[in-house]
Amino acid sequence: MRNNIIHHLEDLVYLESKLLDEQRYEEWLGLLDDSFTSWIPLTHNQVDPLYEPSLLYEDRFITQLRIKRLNNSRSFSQQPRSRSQHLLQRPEIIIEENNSAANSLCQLIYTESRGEQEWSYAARLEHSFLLIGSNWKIVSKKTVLLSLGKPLDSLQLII
Amino acid sequence: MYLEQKGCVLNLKYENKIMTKPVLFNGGEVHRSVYLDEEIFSEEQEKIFSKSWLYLCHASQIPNSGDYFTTEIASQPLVAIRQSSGEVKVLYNRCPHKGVKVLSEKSGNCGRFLRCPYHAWTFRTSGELLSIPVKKEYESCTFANCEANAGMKLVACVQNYRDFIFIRLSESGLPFDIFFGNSLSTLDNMVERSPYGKLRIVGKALRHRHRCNWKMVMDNQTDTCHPMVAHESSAGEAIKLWSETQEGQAKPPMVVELFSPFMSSHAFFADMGIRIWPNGHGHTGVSNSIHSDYSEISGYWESMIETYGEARTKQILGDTRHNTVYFPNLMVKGPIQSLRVIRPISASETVVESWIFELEGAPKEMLERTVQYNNLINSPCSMVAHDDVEMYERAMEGLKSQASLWVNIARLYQPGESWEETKETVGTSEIAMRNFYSMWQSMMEEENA
Repeated sequence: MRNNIIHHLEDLVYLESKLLDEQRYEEWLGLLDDSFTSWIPLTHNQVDPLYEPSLLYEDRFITQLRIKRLNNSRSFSQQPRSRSQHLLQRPEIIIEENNSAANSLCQLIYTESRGEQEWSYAARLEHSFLLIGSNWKIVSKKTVLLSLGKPLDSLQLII
Repeated sequence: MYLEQKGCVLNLKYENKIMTKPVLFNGGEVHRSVYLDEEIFSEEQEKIFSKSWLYLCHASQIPNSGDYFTTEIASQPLVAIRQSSGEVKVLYNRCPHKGVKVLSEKSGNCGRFLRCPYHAWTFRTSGELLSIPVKKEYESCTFANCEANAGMKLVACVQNYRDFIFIRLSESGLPFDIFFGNSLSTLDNMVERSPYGKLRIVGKALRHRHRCNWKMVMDNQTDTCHPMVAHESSAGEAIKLWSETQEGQAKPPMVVELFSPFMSSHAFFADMGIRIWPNGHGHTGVSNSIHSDYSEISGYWESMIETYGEARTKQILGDTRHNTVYFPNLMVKGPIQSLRVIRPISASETVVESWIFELEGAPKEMLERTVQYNNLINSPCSMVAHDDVEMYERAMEGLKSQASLWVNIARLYQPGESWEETKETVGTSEIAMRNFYSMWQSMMEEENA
């Protein structure tokens, strides 16, 4: 049972990356719980996303807006469009006692390219999942970039 | 001057090639080399950045004796240190011995003295040389006459204005009060928005790299004709998504409240008004602004009245200035408690550093809104900033074109514009940009002593 859950959640993390890289955002939204939040902290040990600045801290509504904006015909910074590639290490899944909540930790190299430019980011990717009915949903995602000491160029797609 | 005498300007342009001091701002147009030329960039560092008052940090970042904050301004590694007397001194972060940077962390506490990690020379927090291991080995030489004997050099001029620490690297230049004049009223207003009259910097700065000239970012701060165009994809979509998915709910999500004013019409921005002050400073949003209609946060009004009384509170909170630009490279948003330092790296590279403040004594929700605004607008992940940066970077590309040598900043130009007085006009005017370049030009034309 627990092994099945582990395999399922590993696959879910891989599937998420694939959908993001293929910009199949509507399908990706289907993996997210209504209470979804995404967070890219500004410092390595940041604990508070609400009262301190972050590179990104958004709920499902803002994430939806981000997707709408990427697809808007007047999204000028997406002319030409960006592409991305997630390279993941096998996620480490930790399931809670009751088998209805879980967390994952995964090492990531994320690359984004646009026109003649390319940017790479090493990061630690943390997910938390909830079993909603018979489906596992992503309730939160936290991406801690390795290089937080340098100014960053625009990071446009969903890491 | 320039519109009536276009022919004359054309002559000037022609003469640019042979004149040693070309006219780079002609009243309504800026020569493209101002944005592209590395030689002009170096000259700016020397003539503008060493002689202007520049924002360095906020006193709340270094509250205790020995606390320090390091930064680099105009290519100079600097450190601001709180003295035991409470005063803030600013030193060049360089050991007088071999030139090693003495402090390498962004911030921290150095205790009662600084110690160079290379040969253990030590210095008081005021920079004065305290000790050298086996100092007697210097006795027979003329060490007393060496520059190194003076310790770590102090920055010539430091001004702590209501906890905002400004410096001027050069010993000569306009005094602080004259340089900023009444433009300091924007900082006053931000401070007074705290029921305790006190601000505190929160967290680290968001730092966003742009591949463009720093002045393009400055121009954009008072450009009120771009939001509804360049930000349609984010602000327009926010309004649409809200109406499609959540209609009927009493209060829109904060992101909608923060984004939707960007879609305001030209007429709205025109009515907002714009004000300029001498020496290149100015602000948009005189009578009204895109920050005016944020929803009330429970308890804030009451806490303000307790300190200031009703009439004064109305005055403070009724002043909802949009963007205040301080020449040469600072932008302050009082009603949202944020500050951007536009850091020039080279002619074609800029880092925008965004800091936020907590209003001491105000409800925590005020800070939550400030944090969210900063994340959504100023982060390298910001869907709003992405389109601004795209415009700057396309301008860097487009300006390579031989089609024209000039960038136009003539919207609502008025014949005989002068810059000695405070002035208010229509909010869609590009007068604040012209005011900026007039100051820029006069500083660039000054011969070095």
